[in-house]
Amino acid sequence: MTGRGVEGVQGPRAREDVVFRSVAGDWVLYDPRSQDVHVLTVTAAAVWACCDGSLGPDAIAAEVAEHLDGAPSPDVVRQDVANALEQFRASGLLE
Amino acid sequence: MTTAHAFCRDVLAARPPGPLPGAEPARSEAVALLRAHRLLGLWRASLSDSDRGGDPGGLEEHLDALVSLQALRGELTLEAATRARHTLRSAGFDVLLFKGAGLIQAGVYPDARARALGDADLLIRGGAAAAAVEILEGAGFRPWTNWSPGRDAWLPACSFSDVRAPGGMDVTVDLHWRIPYRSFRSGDEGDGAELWEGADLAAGHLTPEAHALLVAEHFVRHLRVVSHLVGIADMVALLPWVRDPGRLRELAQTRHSLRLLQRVLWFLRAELGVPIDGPLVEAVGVPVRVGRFTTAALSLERLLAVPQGRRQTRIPGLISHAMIGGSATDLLRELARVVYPPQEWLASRTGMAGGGALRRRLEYSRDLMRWATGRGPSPLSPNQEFEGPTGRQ
Repeated sequence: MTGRGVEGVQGPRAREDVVFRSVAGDWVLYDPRSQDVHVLTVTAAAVWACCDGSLGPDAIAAEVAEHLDGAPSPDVVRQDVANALEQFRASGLLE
Repeated sequence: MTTAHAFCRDVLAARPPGPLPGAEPARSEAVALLRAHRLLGLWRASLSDSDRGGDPGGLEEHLDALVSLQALRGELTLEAATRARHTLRSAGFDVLLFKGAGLIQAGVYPDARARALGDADLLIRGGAAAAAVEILEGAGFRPWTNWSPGRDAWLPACSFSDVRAPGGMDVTVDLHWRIPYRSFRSGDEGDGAELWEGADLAAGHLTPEAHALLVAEHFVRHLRVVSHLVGIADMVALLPWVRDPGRLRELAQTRHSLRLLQRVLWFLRAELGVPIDGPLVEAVGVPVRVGRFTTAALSLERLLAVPQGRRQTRIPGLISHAMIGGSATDLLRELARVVYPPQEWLASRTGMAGGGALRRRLEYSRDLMRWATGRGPSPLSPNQEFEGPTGRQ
């Protein structure tokens, strides 16, 4: 398990060149390498905002659950975070 | 009128047309027209939730992705415009935003999803150009062409790329110190003080009346090279904001744009079926009928047609521009201003004083002919003088 403050362990880190903005009520990622645009769910946007390398997946899930109104059960949040991270990885958006 | 044309007419007229036509070729034609005229976002924004067909992986999802990318570019353009405006305001300049970015900032459009932005337009007062350009350069905006002393004497604007835009995206801000949309050649027009009267300097907004007039002038000016139908959508969106039709008429008279405004409003009413308030019709004098030339030049079918290829002569567009806003005499007068500009103007254009007058004039004439026949950039306009990072015209 990875988490905040675990020595020697790095969490997922967003690529610095990926553009992340709130656009007309949507959260949008733009990848200048592939020129792909990704419209995120609120949960995925919250996950992305936590991808600074300092948090592991469980810590990200805890942050997301704490800050999203009406968040579902911890297990569901953990699964949503894992799915979002997998999609970010598969799309090459993480370092 | 084809089904696709009727669909686009409803988008322009803010009559939500609902989902795309179901049958081909109307469906593909409508998508092509919406994309070519940058109206995709406006259409998507007009849809109700029930009209947003769920077709995961299908055409609508693809179009939504295009709109999201367009909206992101728009958002970054707005950010750049805001940064440029605050930078200039901090240095003591008055700055107004106009056209797309200004309309979004003023709330005429809800957001950057509904109004595509190719760039953001800022207006400063005449005489402030050189200092403002220097300040923007210092704030990370790179001019498309190098600034040279005296440039503001022959050009009304300067285009900048925002080198700080994230993700390497092309973000352009145009700084205007004059808006000579009615003329072919800049240099002799007034200082545009009428546009500043009543403007909200703190928010950076023109009055709706001044804004509507500029949008109409800009649409007709663009007829020289392309149908800027987004401008028509802007007019439709702006009209409900116009509270003082008398002021609109006054402004149009001051800027010698009354005839042009009358014809644009005629187009909205006759070709698009947009309802226009009686007091506005009366104050501006919107005609019931217009001449054959205007009818042909402002035919929706003609305006919707997407030009094939880039090398098209601009002469019909020049004539349309001049004739919609004036008479044949006005056209000849304007052509004379363009074909034989004063030496001082030519000198400021090349950044050289003194000798070489004949050579300057010959080179200018050559460049002008190349532009008029679609074989070269304009020697008159900054946006066409130089093709920017996005290759736009």
